[in-house]
Amino acid sequence: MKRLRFEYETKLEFTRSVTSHSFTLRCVPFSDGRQVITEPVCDILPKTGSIWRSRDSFGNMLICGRMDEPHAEFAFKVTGEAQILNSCESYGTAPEFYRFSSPLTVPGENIAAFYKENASESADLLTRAVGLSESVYKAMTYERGVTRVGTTAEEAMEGRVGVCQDYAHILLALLRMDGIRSRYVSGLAFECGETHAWVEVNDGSRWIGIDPTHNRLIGDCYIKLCHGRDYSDCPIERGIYLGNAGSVQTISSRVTDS
Amino acid sequence: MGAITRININNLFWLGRYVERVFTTLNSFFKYADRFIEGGQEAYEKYLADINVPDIYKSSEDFFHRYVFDMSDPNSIISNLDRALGNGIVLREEIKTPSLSYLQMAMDKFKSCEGTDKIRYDMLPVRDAIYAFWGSVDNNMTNAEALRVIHLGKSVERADMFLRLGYPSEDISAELDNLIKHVSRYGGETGIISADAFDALKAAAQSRDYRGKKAELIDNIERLVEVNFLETASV
Amino acid sequence: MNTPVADAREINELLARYGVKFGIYKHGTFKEQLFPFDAIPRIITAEDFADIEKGLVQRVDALNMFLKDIYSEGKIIKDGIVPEDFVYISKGYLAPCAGFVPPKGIYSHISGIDLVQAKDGTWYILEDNLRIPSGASYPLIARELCRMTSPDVFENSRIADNRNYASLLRSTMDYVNCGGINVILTPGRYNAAYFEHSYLAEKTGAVLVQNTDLFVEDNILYMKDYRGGKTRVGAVYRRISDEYLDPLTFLPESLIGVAHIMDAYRAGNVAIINAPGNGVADDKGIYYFVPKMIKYYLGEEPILKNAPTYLPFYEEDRKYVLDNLEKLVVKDVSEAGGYGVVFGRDMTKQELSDWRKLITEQSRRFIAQEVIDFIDLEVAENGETVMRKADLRAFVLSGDKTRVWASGLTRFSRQADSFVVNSSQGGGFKDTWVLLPE
Repeated sequence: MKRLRFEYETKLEFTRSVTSHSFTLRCVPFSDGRQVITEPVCDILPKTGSIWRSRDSFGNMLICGRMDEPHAEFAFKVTGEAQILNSCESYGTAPEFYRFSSPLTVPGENIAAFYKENASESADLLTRAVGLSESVYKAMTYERGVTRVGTTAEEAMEGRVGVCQDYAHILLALLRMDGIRSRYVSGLAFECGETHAWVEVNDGSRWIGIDPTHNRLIGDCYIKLCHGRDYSDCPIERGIYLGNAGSVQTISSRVTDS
Repeated sequence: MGAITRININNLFWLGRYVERVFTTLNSFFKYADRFIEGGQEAYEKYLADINVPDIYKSSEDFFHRYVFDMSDPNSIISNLDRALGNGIVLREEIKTPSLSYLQMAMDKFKSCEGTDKIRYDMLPVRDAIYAFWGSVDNNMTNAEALRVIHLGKSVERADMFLRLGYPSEDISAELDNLIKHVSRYGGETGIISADAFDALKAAAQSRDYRGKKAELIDNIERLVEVNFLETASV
Repeated sequence: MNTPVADAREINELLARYGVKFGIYKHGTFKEQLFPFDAIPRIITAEDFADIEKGLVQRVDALNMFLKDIYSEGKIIKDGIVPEDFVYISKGYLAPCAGFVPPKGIYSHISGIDLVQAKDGTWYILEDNLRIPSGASYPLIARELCRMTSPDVFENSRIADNRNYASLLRSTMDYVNCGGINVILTPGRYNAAYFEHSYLAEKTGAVLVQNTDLFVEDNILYMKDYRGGKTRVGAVYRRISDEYLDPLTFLPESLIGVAHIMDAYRAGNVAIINAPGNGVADDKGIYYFVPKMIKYYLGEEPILKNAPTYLPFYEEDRKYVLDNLEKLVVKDVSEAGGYGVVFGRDMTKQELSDWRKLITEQSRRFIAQEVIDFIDLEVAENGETVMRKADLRAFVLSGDKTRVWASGLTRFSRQADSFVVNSSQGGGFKDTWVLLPE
């Protein structure tokens, strides 16, 4: 078991004041069989409007809110302590839909060809999954700025370039071609920096975390925030507002031993 | 009492105003048309100045036709009827289908009069339809608050138009009294009344002397009801 | 029997006067059109209607059970009745609706089931519409007007009064209401069916609202009133489609949706009519399986028949389709409103071979059906009576029990050789008379 302290903050600066701002945040980690979260605190600025909790159909904890008053800045900060009981797995079963392609993981020619080349014959689900993760890791080049949040697995596979989100989407597309139930995970994994994305596969009774960007099973420094079929199901922050404004986003996170 | 949305309050108020504007301008146009028979053509210029409509017309004949029937002229009577109908269409559930049908009837009849040489006679059914509209509104509307707001719009428009059109001061007094009665009975409850505009109107109505105060009075009437709820959305 | 109720001109004039219109977009501009009314009613005998009624109740009950099943356990898939490919990758399947049951367990509160009658008198189901089927308001107001112009016709016939639609709708809304008022959510005046939205609001006493009138707080849906107060909403009859419903769950660019309405819905604080996610049960691929669903869930034989349908997804069916394409009609599973429908008999040799290739490559995307020779109905046109293709949209309302409205929307094609009856493609409509038993 390992104890971690975490801190995660996102700041949105609008180029102009906005109003009628509604948002859903998936920024508060919740306890499952692998991690136990104690005393999570979520501060949201400006302190106006109404804030409440909700849950989505994937089981994520949501912070919902609405701010009608004009504001030019929006920020949320989560802090708390996590006990990691188990390095990479938690108990649980998976709904059927995790076996089928989702909006960002629909396989095209490139994914199909890649799967054909790299699928293994192994009878063991985890061996096959880890094998596919390794192939993705080897085939891809990690580079920022080439792909966007809406880039599909197929597009990223074609360019062979991307960030953790793209690695995860490609692996999900391949796993689902292989009939393996799998989901996308957003979370914190580094001492400092941004958020990270990885994949969980379900073997019928356990969810097992695989990080294709680092070609390994997840370890005891990974804190999960939320999950879904792909990124589009579970963005950490999603909002709409009135006002013809652009925004600049700054993200920072810290995970340290406690 | 049923709930009313903000946009509906706005639409009800303007529906009352536009229907009344059509009715009042039609009446005053008929007076003008009557004088026209013996050649009172130039009077239209003063008429336009009174109601604050720019004189874009080439001649009295052009005015005679376009001011009444030209949908592309935003100040024409038919354009105001079109606005009334537009407001009515989005208020069907509030004003009820029969009331809306009278507006549609007024529009259909209005259009069929284009080109007539006896406009005051042919247009009688348009006025009938508007009278029927008000009767239908009073009989069919189930939400008392909504009904008050549409009448508030009507009353504001009448006082406003009577002033603009230079009606005799007894008529203006009667309309102002009527408006004040409306507002004081329901003003606090509707919560959409500007207090200072209301005080100014009450003072003017008490003095019974409107000379030289026309512009100020019109301004207060225009500010009296605050229904600028329209939101424009962009993301 | 098939006598016109009145001069169609009279009724059409009245319809215009009552603002009975539907909007269409042509070359990017919005226009309102009258929906041409034909004065010769379609008449359904009491015996026919008794069968149709039983058959539709059975079908809609099974469809509701199917929706409840696939958004929870998915037993029908595990038992091999419906292949999983027709559910989980269907455009209409919404993962955000999985794992919870809507108020009173009802998904399709208002179902519009399209039927045709073949020349031998048999009724066939053409398609199910479980999302936001429209059109009930047209026969509803037409009847009102016909009774005004031709009271004598109604005096001497035993015609079921169809003007109870509003009260059926109202009691359906009340039944699933979670506390608060009923509202009808419209995208606004420039929607094709705006007349219907406002007319049904008037008739049911629901408040007609647009998205900016609504907001969510603590997972409860409220309507803003103009004084800044709020009124709790217990049921939303929404006339906007699933993907625009909640910009924080579905399409973020939706300007007509209500933020967090899905949170209020999932928390069980508001009923959404019809439930989001119904699209998975009414696409043309799932249609094939509805008779199997009826047997599976209800243990009954289907009372109403599907048109004979082939799924190229199954090898045996695919072979039949490829061999008989000339006489079949091919439908794109994801299209609606009469689009994506092609007849083999109209295809050139080249087109036939192109279609064979397409069907082989994208076998999940199409279904093929035998062309039903359905009866023509008499339509009065320029003083003559002509024969035109027509279908019937029956409305089924599910509340404390499932009821079929004793009327329906009969749409007919205005072109002699056309099978396309949709209003968006220029079709007209008739009143539908259901005769009472002797």
